Amino acid sequence: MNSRGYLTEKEVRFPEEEITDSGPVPIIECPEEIPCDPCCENCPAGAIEMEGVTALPEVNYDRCTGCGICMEVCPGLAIFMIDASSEEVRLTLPFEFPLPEIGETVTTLNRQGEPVGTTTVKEIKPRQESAGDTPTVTVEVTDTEARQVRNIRRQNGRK
Amino acid sequence: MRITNHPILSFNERDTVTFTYEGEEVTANKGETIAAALHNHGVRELGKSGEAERSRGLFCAIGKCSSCLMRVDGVPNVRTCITAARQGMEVEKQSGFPELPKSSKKIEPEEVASRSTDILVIGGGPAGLKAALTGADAGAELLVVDENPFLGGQLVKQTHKFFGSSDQAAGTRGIEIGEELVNQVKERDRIETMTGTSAVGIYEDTVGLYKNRERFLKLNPEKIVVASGANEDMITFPNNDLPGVYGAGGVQTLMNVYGIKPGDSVLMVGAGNVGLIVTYQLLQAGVDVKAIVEVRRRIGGYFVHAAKVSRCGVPILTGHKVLGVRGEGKVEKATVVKLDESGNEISDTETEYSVDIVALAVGLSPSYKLLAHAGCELENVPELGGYVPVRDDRMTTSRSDIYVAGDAAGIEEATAAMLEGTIAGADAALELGSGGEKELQAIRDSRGQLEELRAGPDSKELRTGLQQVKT
Repeated sequence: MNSRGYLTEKEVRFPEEEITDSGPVPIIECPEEIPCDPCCENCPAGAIEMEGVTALPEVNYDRCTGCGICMEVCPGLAIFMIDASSEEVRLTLPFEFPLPEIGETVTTLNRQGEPVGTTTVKEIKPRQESAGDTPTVTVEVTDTEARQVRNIRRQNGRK
Repeated sequence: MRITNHPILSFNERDTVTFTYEGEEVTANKGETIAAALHNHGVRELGKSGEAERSRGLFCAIGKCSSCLMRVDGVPNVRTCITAARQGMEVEKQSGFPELPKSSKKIEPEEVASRSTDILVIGGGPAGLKAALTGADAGAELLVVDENPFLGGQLVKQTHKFFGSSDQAAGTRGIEIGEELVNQVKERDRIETMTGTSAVGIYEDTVGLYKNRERFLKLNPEKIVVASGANEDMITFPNNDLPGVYGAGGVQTLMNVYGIKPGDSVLMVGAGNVGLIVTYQLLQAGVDVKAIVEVRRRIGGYFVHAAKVSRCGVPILTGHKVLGVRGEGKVEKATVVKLDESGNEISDTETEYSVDIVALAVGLSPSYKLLAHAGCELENVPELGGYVPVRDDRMTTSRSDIYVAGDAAGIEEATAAMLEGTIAGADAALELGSGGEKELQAIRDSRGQLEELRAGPDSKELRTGLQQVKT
């Protein structure tokens, strides 16, 4: 991890299927003990537990209401929301680049920035509406892709 | 080229000024430095070195490295990276050690006696501004000086959200923390600020200040807080002085402060937090980053910063180094080679990149020279970035009237700088008979928070270093 700069699928602690099937939940990809606690401090449900400011955050999925505030406040942009309650999985990503439009076709990228597939943008939350000043983009992906896709790229060189 | 579409920053149309460069007209945004405007105009070579006549260009962009010296209105050795462009200025390239103009006006020193300054703060970054606010709230009169055309230090270009705990503004972007500090300072009647002003020497009881290249002021403060920040480091490889080899912080200044694209295509050197963050910010500004090259076998910066650039497709090449760069008067190509476990180059693993910028994020060194000049006891502590003053737990150096705070005390993050500034400002005020329990409490709280910040496994070296300078 320290020589690569990204996690492999195996290294990510992905919640059980029954949890992701129940509605939106956060996937926290924060494997390093750094001094940082906004996810835990800002969770309105008290669902993120940390023992001290440098500890790793633990999600208590029983308490989580799926509001997504942790994703929006995370300074490391390391939290993603997954909602597998319907056929197509809705994946919400923090996205600090010029925003696409709803309905726009985008390329999905994995943790190494390699293309996974294409999809259309379902929802956009601009900075102004975000609890933590981080814009987010929601796309629909397959179950398998939800474990891989962590970024999108606008097509035709649109930046 | 100017950045027009940015996800975090907005660069509004501004008033402009016109100056001449080698007789040619150049337009600059009002408040923009000469070097930034020239970069936007496509000028990379700002001068020539002495005998070897090698091209000289921008490097640090914050007045630390003297690579951007030019002749301005006939006066040589002007640091164009911190000098704001003014209407009608005449800017020329200079070579080597230029002659002084024969008819230059002599600047007479002025005693500054009209105002009593209890505490002089040198450096208007996070450490200095916090020291000033804490000192002012305790009742002391302060003057903050900074060489740059604006206050806020390096916070003015930190578009990312800070880590830390919620008591330390975690989750807030550095630029917003900077703006908030500057606004608070402006609201305080007890704080006077001078930008464009260099502290050029600290003597027994006098400090010399050179203001806007026009006035030389002599000041006799009771206490001095040196929060002079840090210099970007350089590494050796053939043609490392070619214009286009820029400090990563310099690149960040061009794009995030002045809204100027540093180049079209960048090779980043160093995978510490600075290298990772600046890479991400380059991508946000629409600049292509070919790769991040890191000589060590592991990424030095935070994993989450590395993950952000990785998922944008920027490879992080650990165990690689820059072999050299080349180009006609500016960077055009950079060659990278793979290293084996013992750090030897592996043959036939060279890769050549077509880039116009090689950004160096290879470390920072504390700006200690004023402290050395003042006679403060220094130690060379590699874990803290180089020479730093020994100090007690209230940031007092071996000279009881001089405090240190921020990167000048050892390379750390802005959060630590603000806490150290708070301690220095509170203690300086207490020593002058201002303040009381509130300041003592601020010192205790800041110490506690510093301890917590430095508790992680990542800060092990830092903790070792700090032990060596404790008195």
